Amino acid sequence: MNPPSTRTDPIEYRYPGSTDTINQARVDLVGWLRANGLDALAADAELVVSELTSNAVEASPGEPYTVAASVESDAVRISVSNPSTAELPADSNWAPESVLAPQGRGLFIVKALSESVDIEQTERETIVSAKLPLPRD
Amino acid sequence: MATIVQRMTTPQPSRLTLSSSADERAVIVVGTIDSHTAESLLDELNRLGTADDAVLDLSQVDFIDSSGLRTIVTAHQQFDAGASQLVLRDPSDAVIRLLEITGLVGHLHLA
Repeated sequence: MNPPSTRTDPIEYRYPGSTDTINQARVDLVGWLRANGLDALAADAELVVSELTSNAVEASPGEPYTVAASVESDAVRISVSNPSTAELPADSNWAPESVLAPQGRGLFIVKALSESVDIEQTERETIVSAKLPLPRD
Repeated sequence: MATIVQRMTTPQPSRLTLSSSADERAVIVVGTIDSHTAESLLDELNRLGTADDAVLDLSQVDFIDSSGLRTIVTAHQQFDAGASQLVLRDPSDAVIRLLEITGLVGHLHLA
């Protein structure tokens, strides 16, 4: 594997806000990781971006959403933003209400795969960022 | 700062193929179960009904996320409520991985 380096250019892609673009968002992110020698993160990142983009489309259907990814010193940051400014549900560890509850697993899965998850809300958009630790050599 | 690239043209949507078996009450799933495709799976399971046990063959699922899992859990509950079982047959690595992350392995009927 190539060592991650500052040569890795970040990406920022914008997609139409419908579920038929989510596969493309996964394909694009995995392609970027592989092109940068980060194959080891592909499976986790694919799941993370699928959850975050699904949430984005659900929060603001029909509105474009953006996926940004960059390599930091010890992690890959994946950020998904959408133009919804609706109040976010309270953080109850983002766990489903019970193990068999139908809802509430998306962010729980993201958190399980990430070193940290940040949610930022501005007057214009909601941005959810997940940091996936780089594999140690 | 990266230039924002518009990914507006010809996206390839997620693909899911569902087929049934003439010999048993089964739905065979091939492809991706996500927020784009999960509803069609739930529709297919609803068509099957919960009057008797059924099999959901997950051996050819190449990707699944929480939207897919929601469909499976919902169907599992419906079958249990109807005193029958939805058996998840031969789940692929992608399915097993998600069941492990979410702690669902011991709560569904796996075969």
